[in-house]
Amino acid sequence: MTFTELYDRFFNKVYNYVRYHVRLPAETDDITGRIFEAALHKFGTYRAERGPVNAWLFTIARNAVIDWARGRNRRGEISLEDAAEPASAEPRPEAALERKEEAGQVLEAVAALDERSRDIIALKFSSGMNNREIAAMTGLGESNVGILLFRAVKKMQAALEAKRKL
Amino acid sequence: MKETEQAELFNRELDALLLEGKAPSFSSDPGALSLAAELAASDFSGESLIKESLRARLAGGEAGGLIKALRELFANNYARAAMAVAVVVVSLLPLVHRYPGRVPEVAAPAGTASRPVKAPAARASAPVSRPAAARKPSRPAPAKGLFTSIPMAKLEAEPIKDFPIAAPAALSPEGEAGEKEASPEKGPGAVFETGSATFLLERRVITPADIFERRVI
Repeated sequence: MTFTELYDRFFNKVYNYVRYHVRLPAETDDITGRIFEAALHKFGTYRAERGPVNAWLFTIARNAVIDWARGRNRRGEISLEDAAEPASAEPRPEAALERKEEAGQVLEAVAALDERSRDIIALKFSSGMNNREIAAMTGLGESNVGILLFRAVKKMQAALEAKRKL
Repeated sequence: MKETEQAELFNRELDALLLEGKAPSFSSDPGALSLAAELAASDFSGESLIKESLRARLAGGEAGGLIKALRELFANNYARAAMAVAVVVVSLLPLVHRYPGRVPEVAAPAGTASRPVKAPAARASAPVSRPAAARKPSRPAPAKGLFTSIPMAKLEAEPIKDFPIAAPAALSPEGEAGEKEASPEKGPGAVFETGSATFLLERRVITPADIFERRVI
């Protein structure tokens, strides 16, 4: 697999993973760019016999997100989860606007989770890894990952139902 | 049903959903699974403004990885300084090979300059068992202090001196090597005659005054 093939196959997944953590698209672009630059830099060291390529790439992505979060805390910036998303100036068709609103609600629900649950949701729904692989990456037990995932989804479900009823 | 069992069931259904791309016909928790399906279908990558430009940049970087790596290396000040030091050290290496173990020049005292200097005795601490073949022959260092080498051109310019022994024909008409008893002026001795020269060895009584010169300051 060449690096370009890796990029084409995983860009969307990595972007989504970062997006679950970072709510501003511009910042998501920045972090995603850094992840793929690091991946290109280390691409020569990747060995297929050590594990699947998505686990390797998402390890880099996870470290980049952790570094970003640490840097943000050090700088004392306002959490981006609390920051409002900038409104688009361009008028959009109704369906697209609805989709955007729904996606925004999902992201808000993910942002309301604690750091660990958010990471597990992001890994589960963007990396394509199973619970065992996520457990190996996060250092948790496989059954623990399953329970955290279930609780996180139930919590999000409750939050979204409450919001959609309003 | 306990939470653990519920979670286990939900995860089984979720794995099936992610694998097949559609929710199972019957679900123990349709609301949670519906949200999971929504999350699995979510794709925010359309918001990205760098997807194509980053691809082009990284594809270029993949081709010219070495140039990029060098450019990144020289962008770092520490790396630049380290590289400069390395270049200086490498450029000085030939000098080190030319003068191995060069002793710093020390001005010799005026009194010792004309005196013959005794050769230093072999060090006791030198490795005795080291085979001579293993020793690397070291090139003589051209020191400028006590010892100076005479240029070959100067040596060649000097006239060849005559051997200070008389020609054999004058002393030994036979021209054969042999030993004869001699009676020199001051005592007994022997004359050795070889094919090419005659050597006179005499035995005589000498006094310190014959050897040493007494000077009065």
